[in-house]
Amino acid sequence: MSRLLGVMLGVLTAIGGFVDIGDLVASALVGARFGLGLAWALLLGLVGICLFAEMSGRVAAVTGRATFDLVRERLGPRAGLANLAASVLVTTLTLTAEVGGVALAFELATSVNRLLWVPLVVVLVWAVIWRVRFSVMENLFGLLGLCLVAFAVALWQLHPDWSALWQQLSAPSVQEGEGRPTYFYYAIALFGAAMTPYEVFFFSSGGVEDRWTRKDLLTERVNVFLGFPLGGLLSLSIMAVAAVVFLPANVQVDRLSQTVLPVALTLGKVGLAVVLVGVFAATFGAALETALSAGYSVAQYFGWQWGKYVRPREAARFHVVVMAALLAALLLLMTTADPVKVTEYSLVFSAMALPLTYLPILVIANDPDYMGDQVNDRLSNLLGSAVLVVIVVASLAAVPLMVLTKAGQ
Amino acid sequence: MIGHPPGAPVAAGLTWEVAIDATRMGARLGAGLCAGLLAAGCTSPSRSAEDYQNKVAQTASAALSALQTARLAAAAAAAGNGTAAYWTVVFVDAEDTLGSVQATLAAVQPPDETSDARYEEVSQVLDQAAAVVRSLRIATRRGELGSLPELAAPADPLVGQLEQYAGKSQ
Repeated sequence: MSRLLGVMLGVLTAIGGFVDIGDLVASALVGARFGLGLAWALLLGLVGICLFAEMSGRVAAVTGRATFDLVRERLGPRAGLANLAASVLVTTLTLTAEVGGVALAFELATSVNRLLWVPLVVVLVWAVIWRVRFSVMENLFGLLGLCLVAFAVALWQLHPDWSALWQQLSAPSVQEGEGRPTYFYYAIALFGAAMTPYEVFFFSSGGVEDRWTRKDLLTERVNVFLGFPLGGLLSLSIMAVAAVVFLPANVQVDRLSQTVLPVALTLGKVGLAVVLVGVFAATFGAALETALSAGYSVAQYFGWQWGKYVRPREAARFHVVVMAALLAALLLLMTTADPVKVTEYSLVFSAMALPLTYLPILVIANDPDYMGDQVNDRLSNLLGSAVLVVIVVASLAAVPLMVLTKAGQ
Repeated sequence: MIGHPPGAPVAAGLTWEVAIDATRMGARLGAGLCAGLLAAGCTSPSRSAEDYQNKVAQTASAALSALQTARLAAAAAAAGNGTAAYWTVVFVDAEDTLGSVQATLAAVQPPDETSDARYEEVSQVLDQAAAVVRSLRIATRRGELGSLPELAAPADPLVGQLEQYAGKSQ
C-alpha cells in the first residue's frame, strides 16, 4: 500500500513538476501564433524527454551514480568538459529565467515591480536548498504545480470548437502570414522547452539523492512514462487556451501576464489565484532544480562531494557553485533583462546544447560494464537514436534560424 | 557494479591543460552566444520603401496585440474577474509594449517621402492606442473598474486601423 502511495506521489509530482517557465512561455506564445499547429514539436519533445529521462534514471538506479558523474569517466575529460561548459551555461540561463518567472508571479499577485522581488526570490531559493529536505522540496512544489490544471479547466469552460482544435493538431500547417523559418524556429523552441538539459541532470542526480536501487526501477518508469506525458498535457492545454483566446484576436503572447489571462477570463478570481500558485510552484520548483543542477554538474565533473543528502559543510564546494549560479542569475536579472526574453533565448541555446547532454546518456545506458543486464533494449536504442537525429538537426538549425527570423519576429 | 559511492571523488587527472581548455571553451561558447544574440536582436535600417513598410506592419502587429490584450482585460476586469493588482500589471505591460514599439519605429530612418507620410499616420494611431491603455491603467489603479469598458471603447476603431497596417484585416 505504501509503495502504491509512493508511486502515486511520484506520478503527481512528475505531472506538477513537468511545466516550467519555458513551457509557460513557449506554449502560450506558440498557441497564440500558430494554434495547435506546432503541438507535434511538443509531443516529439515529450517522447524524447521520456526516453532519455528513463535512461538517466535507470543509470542512477543501477549504478548508484548520476549519469554525468559517469560522463567524464566514460568519455574522458575533454568530452566531459564540452558537456560541462554547455550545461553550466544553459542551466544558468535557465535558472535566470526561472527566478525571473517567480518574480513575475509575485508581480502578478501584488503589482509590485518584479525587480523588487528578484533579490528576495534568490534568497528564498538559496534558503530552501540549504534548509529543506530533498524529498519535501521535490514533493511540495511538484504537488503545488498541479494547480496549473486550471489551464485545462479554463479550456473546458471556453467551450472551444474541439473539431477545429483537432484539425490544427492532426493536420499541422504554417499559419497565413507566417514564414516557414519562423515556424521551425518556434518548433525548435518548443522542442527545447520539453527537453531542457537540466531535467535529466536533476532527474538522474535526484535518483541518487533519493537512493534509488534496482528495486525502484518500476517506480522510476511509472513516474516517467505516466507522469511526464500527463505533465505534457498541461503544456498542451496552455497552448490550446492561447489558441482559442488569442489567435482570433491577433494577440502575440510576450508577457507572463498574458499567459494566465485566459484563466482569469473564464475562471475569475479563484481561477486566477489558483493558476498564480501553479505558476509560482512551477517556476520556483524549477529554480530549485536548475540551481541544484548547476551544482551537480560542476561537482560531478570535478569529483567533489555533492548533494543534499550530506550536510552542507561536507559538500561546501557544491553549495558554493549553487550560490554562484544564483548570484549570476541575480546580476543578470537586475540589469532589467526581461525574464520572458531570457526564457526565449534560453530555449534556443538549450536546443543548441542538446546533443552534448543526450549523446552521453545513450552511450552510458548502452555500456554493459556500467549497466549489466539493464542496458538499453532494441526499442529504446531505435527510438533514442531517432530522437538524437532530431536533436542534432535542431541544434544545428537553432542559431541560423534565430538570426534569419530575428529571434522569431 | 562499477562505480563508487555517490559524491566520492572520481579519478584525479585535472591538469592546467584541462583548465585552460575549459576557459577557452567557455570563451568560445560565450562569444558565439553573444554574436547570435546581437545578430538576432539588432534593429536594422530600412533601405527601401518596401522594407520600411514591413517594419510598419511589424510595429502595427505588436501594437494591435497590446491593444487587444487591454480590451480583453478591460471587459473581464469590469465583469469582476481577477484582481485589481493583476489587471494593473496587464495594462502596464500593454502600455510598455506600445511605448517600446513606438520608440523602435521612431528610430528607423524612413527612406522616402511616402514612408514619412506612413510614419505620421501610424504614429497617430499608436499615440491614440497608448492614450487608451494609459487611461485604463489609471482607472484600474484608482479602483474604478466599472468604467473600463467605456474607457476602452475608443480602441474599437483603432483595432481596425492597426489590422490594416499589419496586413491582418479580415
